[in-house]
Amino acid sequence: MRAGALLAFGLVLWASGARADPAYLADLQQRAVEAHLADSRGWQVLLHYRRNALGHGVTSDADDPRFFLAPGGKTDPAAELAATLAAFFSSEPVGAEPQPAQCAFVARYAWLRQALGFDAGRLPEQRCEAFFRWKSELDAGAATLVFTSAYLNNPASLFGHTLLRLDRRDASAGTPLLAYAVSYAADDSGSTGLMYGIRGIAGGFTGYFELQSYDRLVRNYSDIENRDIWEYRLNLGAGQMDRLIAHLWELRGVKFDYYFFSENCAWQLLTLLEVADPSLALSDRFALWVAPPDVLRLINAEAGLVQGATPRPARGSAIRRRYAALDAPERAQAQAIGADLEHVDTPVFRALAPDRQALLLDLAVDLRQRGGDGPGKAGEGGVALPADEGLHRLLAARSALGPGLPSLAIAPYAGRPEAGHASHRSGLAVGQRAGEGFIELSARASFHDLLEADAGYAPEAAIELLGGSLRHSPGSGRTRLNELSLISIESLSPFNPLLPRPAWRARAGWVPAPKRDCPDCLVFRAQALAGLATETRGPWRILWFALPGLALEDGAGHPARAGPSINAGLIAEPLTGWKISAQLAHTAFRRGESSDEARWTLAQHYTLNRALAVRAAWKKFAEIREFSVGVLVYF
Amino acid sequence: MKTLPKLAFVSVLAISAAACTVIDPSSSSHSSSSSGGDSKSASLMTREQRIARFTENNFDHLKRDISIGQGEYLSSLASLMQIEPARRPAFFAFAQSNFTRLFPGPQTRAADMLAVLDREMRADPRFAQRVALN
Repeated sequence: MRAGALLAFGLVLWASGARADPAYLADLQQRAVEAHLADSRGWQVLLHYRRNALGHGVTSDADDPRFFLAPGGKTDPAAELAATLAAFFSSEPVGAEPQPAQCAFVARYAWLRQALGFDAGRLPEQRCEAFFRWKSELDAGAATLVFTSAYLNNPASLFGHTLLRLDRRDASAGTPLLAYAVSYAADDSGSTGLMYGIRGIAGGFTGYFELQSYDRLVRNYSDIENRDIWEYRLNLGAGQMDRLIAHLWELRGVKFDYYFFSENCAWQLLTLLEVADPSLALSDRFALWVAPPDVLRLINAEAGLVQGATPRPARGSAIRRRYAALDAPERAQAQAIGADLEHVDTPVFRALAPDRQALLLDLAVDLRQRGGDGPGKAGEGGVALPADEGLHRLLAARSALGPGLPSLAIAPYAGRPEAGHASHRSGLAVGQRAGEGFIELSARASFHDLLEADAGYAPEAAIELLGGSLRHSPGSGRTRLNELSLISIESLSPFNPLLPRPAWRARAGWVPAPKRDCPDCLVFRAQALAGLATETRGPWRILWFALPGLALEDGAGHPARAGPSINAGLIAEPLTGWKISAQLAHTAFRRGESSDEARWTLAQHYTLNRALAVRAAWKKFAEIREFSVGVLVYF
Repeated sequence: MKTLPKLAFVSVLAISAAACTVIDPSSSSHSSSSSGGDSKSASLMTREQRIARFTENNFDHLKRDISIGQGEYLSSLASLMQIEPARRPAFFAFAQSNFTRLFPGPQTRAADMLAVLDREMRADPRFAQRVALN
């Protein structure tokens, strides 16, 4: 009876939010100060504190007041720690998902309990049912960093995407689809055009950590967007996984300012890994710019962090691999199936060996199921692919072949992304234009061009952002801007009759337009071209392309002008890492000032290693010839 | 700044700004949801409900895996159905051999397929006990 009265008193005390033991709270706060806990790495990573760029002190990346318990907690780790300890004595709801502090901030509670050795008699531990239910649902026993390769058809995904998969503890091999994955994404609703860019760069979007089922992500990225996926199993122990999961619970609904260049999806995953293992110092390696491939290079360079990588090829890769595995008569049969499904019942098809029938049927199914077009478009909601009797017929024929047939191993076309050169590039070159020598200093913010080694990048795809060069002529003493590229994107995939896609190129920036009275003039030029590419082999692989389109030009002392343009040429790779290109860009300006212009370029590039390459180029334009040779450094 | 370069600059801002995927929040849910993200809380779902959800979400993949008699989606279904790894090759072959029963036509729905699968497994002594435990 007396015990019941005490229990009731205790419950009333908790319900009122009153501190149960002010003396013990003061004791804990004092010990935390003496131990400098607020300055320790464990506390700093839990609160996402980062050293201020200018001056002393730290500031948290979290931009949600509900993430802090002290009024100045965003910039005052000590005050936040003291307030957190005080809140642990209360049952008053706090946080983005209001609940008692011990439950809202379970990772902080666990860390401080271990650091200070809480006396459960004086600071009773509260039951956090919702957290344990959520944790039980995730059932995470391991983590995998997932990289989805660049998606050229979506400007927001040109650099790929990273997320963290929380692998289920009970998962048998081959069942990662049942896991959840966490990613960091921005709420960009209601923003377009210039405001989109400005808000993104200035941190005007709100970022959240999101949790989604992995099978749904695979469907979106691999099936519909046709992006190869790489999965990097991380070497995190049970304690580290516990910290990670507890911290993800704390982050639910917490708002961050999303910065496109720096505090983006790739960078924020690093902060999660630092919470899991505070001895890791990953996020500080990037100051102004971080892209998903940079993160892959970093974590793979961290000793012991990555256990291994597994590719998950996109459906498009499977189609190309299967088609490449066919001989000429089989390719004819593949096209016959595409034209008429009755072909699978013909004697000529039945005469094939069962494994070759299986290969052709698998290819036909891939083609019907590929995302984006046709009746086989991947559907949501559990309905069989809508009224696609053809697909059903193919699958029935495939099942009739029976078990035990070998499957073609499908490898992605791009190698491990971290195996490639780094994103940033600078270069030093010497050369001569129209008889005048020059020294050239160049730089490129990111990412990859078609002359660079393919390792780690999607073949025949290139994205370059913000590149330029300065030239100094020792003879005349002039220093000038030679070129400034805003963007260059190209996709020169060889034509495949089963997957017909155009090759295309889009560029914008300032290019040299020398005139007699203005030898250093630049002109702004934008090009959009689409055509075809094909490849030949023997003795070398050569990629041929012809891209008609439109060019617009502005500047150089004349009004804006436009006209049809064509880029044609080849890219050969005599040896791995050595590429040669020859290109002609011809434009017939007919709107505005009329004139024809041809630019010839011969270039070769030799990759010495992941960080170093040499490049030589010869160009002819406006009756001027120039030659340059130099080194390129990647970092 | 002239119009053309300005337009290009805006485009580049919009493109280069997105160093990684930006997701429309209406298409997914933040981890702030009360359960585990974009799903109902699995801890509150029966195993049958989890099987049904996975099958519905991945029906096209499952149909294909069953036609081949192997695959990650079929393995995942077997895992959800708590079929021991040692019995899975037999289960895969069983599913493949029953393809036309499981999918009598192109309009077969996930729930219909699961009902037939359950019935066929109950009729097979290798899997009847497993089904009875579910």
